[in-house]
Amino acid sequence: MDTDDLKLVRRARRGDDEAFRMLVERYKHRVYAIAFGMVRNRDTALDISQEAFLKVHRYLDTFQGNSSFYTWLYRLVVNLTIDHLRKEGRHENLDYDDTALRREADGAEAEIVPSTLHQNPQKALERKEMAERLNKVIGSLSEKHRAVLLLREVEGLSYEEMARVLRIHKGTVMSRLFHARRYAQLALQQYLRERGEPIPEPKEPEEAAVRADSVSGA
Amino acid sequence: MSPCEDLRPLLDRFHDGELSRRARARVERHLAACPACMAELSRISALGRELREALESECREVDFSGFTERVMQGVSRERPLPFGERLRLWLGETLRVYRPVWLVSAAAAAAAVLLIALWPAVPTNELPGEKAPPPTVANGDSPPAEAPQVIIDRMEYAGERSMIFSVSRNNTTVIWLYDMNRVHPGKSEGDEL
Repeated sequence: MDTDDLKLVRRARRGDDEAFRMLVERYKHRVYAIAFGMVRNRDTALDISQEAFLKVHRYLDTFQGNSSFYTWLYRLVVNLTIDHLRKEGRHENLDYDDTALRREADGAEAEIVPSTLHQNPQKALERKEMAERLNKVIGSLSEKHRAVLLLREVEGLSYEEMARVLRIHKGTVMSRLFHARRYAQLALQQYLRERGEPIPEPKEPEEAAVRADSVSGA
Repeated sequence: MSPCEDLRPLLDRFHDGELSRRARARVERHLAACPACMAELSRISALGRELREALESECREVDFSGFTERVMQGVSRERPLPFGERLRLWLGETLRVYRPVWLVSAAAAAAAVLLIALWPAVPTNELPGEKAPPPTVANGDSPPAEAPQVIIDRMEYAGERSMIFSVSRNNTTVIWLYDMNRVHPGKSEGDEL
């Protein structure tokens, strides 16, 4: 993937729009996931995602190829989201309430996504609850903690990669991730308590992915 | 320090696959005998799963149709036009807007002028036996001591800041660059002239 990305970058630098389009197609969902995880507002996340790609195109000539393309791309996205959050003064437009779940469907508004409501109301409610939990969990974190949690859990980056994206030491990545998880868990427990829901028993943990390129001494 | 306290900081790295083989084996042995640490590992795992599921669900709901097109449109808007095209547009716009300007500026610009390149061919008051005076270059601050006699034969171009014209003798082409502030004191760029 890295080699493919670099080939596309080189072609895009030479003015090949089709190559750049392929990069956008390849990464748009992942970029959006990070953006949305950080800002938790759909429209803002879409705007930031677009801006990230425009910025990438603007500065294509500066990309040296010393790191992977997605490292550079994710760095842009994270920085754009952090800039946005700071500008907004943390007054985020939260997406996860009944009002925000309204959307226009053929000119008519509905309280919950209409397609899922009519097809599967249970699924729609589950989605809403999941979204609220995510909001609670992520919303309790600072931008720095959000960033490491998202890059690790959603994008699956190694500590080394995260350190490159965020331009911090690997030790700082580990420390932030440790605290991010603890704060997030506390926020989740508090959320469940407030709703009167039981805190679920821990299930069997997933097999940790062994990353051949990120073995570190302990 | 208890084994749990000792190993707890390693649980995140164990979960993320960031431990050496030896350290990983040590944690695995401990987990096999410690429900508390196993429960903590499960919580770490569950949190990640929850985040992924929530964001995947969100991504499924988003309408990405048109996203790439909008990005590509933005790319096109930001891309500079070829030089020739830009020059053509600029000249066209400038002449359209400022056509009356050069008629006024031609006379007023004599006080601040920069002559380039073909100065020796410009006619001067030259007596036989005398050498032509060296080219005089004036910037916007001080006009040349003796302004040359120049008769405009044909105006090639006239814009806000420059004029290109040919003089009556020797097929000379002159490029004038003049200071708008001197031409129209008090006016600034962008003012209607």
